[in-house]
Amino acid sequence: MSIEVRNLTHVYMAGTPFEKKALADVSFSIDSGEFVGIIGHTGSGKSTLIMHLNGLLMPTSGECLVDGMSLSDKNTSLRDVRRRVGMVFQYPEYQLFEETVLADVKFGPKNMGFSDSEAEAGAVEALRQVGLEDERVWQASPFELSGGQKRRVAIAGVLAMKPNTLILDEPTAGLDPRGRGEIMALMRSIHAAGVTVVMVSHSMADVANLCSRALVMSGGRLIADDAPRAIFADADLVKRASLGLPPCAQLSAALREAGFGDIPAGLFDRNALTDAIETALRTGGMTA
Amino acid sequence: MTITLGQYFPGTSVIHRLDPRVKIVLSLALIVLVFFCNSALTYGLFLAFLLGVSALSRIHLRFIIRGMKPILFIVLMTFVINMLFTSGGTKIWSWRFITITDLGVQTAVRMALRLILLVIVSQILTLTTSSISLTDGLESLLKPLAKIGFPAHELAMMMSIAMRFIPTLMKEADKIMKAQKARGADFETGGLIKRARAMLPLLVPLFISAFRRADELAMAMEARCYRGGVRRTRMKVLKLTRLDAAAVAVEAVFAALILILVYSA
Repeated sequence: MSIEVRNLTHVYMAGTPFEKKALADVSFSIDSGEFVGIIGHTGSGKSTLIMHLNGLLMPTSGECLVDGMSLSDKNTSLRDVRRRVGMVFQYPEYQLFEETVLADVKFGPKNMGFSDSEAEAGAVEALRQVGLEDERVWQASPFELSGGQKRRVAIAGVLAMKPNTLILDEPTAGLDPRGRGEIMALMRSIHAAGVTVVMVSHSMADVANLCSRALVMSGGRLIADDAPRAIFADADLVKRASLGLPPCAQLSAALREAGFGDIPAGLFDRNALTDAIETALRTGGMTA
Repeated sequence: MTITLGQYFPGTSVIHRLDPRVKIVLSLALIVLVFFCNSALTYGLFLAFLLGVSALSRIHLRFIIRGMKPILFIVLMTFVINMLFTSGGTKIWSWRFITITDLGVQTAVRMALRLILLVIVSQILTLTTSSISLTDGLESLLKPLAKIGFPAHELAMMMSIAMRFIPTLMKEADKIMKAQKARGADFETGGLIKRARAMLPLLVPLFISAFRRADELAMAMEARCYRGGVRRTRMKVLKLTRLDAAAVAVEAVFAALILILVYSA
């Protein structure tokens, strides 16, 4: 078991007039090798939640465990936890600061106590992994790169620490469709390489396409934990958590409403939807 | 987030409703007046007056006291230095080279009191006046100087932009710090030099983002045809009211009282 969260509650600025309960009694666990999406409305507690998973925030009550180690335990090395659980924040390119791309990617592993040559080897591997093969880019200033490249450098900076779990907050925010596609492909390949991936996203299509499981947050509570297909099929849940639907699910819902009762709810896979429509048309599945 | 020295505390009290120009001028006058005080009676009256004003402003005394914390050290330093290094007067206590005289204690108390009163005055001003109306008031007061080339409007605009961006940059700094911590950065331990070096991964991105924001803001201002203060009109024109006249009158009477007490003694 990679990550376990037990009855996690977090209150910001407790004991002041500005007190705000951001998380209430959240429990779940993530096995190694999973690809989990966290979805929910803005302000539902997603970002607060993920910051607990590598000890950037400490629970007001409850507990988080990473590979069996409790983060609240004084004997747990937070540095070790942060090496195991890599965290890529929203707009990670804003954290770049070094003179060269390579030096910036080496920052993490060096902090983790890797020797210079180990850090360099890790950085080179991470840069290749994110698709930056050109050695001239490695020596360039990170501020000379394009937006999509900067983001990949920032992700490499986390991958270079060789985490076994990677958490990404809105990894595709603010990118053009091509940059988006590249980042999604990258996440797929990171997952394929054996890393547990947790992704916070507003893009229901991305969650539907990539994740095997989704956690739905609403008002600081975990209100659903299921396969994306089951979540998008639950119209009441989707409404309650103010989630959108992936484009295919929108179409299948619209078709059902229009009288194609044979089309299953929550279909978001394009091929499955095409098949369902074909069958419905062939069997004359108009029920209305 | 803690209430710090001089953070605006919204309200609708008489003091809040005063014209910012009047408040600035009256505060300056009070600050000058503090230096005339020379007896226990005048200091006491002054403190009573300020307590009266803060009661009128409906700001809890707790906030004013809490806001004193950052300057407590300076007050203590002033007190100790004055007590030890004032020459003259009768000796009341001595140990080796340290001598404390009654005059020394007197000066020390007076200096500490002065500082405290000055801070209370400025705190009442900033607690009851939002930064926007404060800069508006300042701009309007400095306007006569524009005739001799003083950039009154530009200065006020710079001040309000700077204040507007303090919370934004604080938030940003927090975000960058978390991101670097996630990469194993350590901001808390080590000696002075190590810690200063550890700030680099925070400061470089922070400066870059500050420049980016400045650029974007300049662009947005130009897109709305901002051209500096020339022939610029205001949506909210500052107007003096009867309340302002009353405030001026009250303070004038108070100042006269203090001056009479000082010069008749």
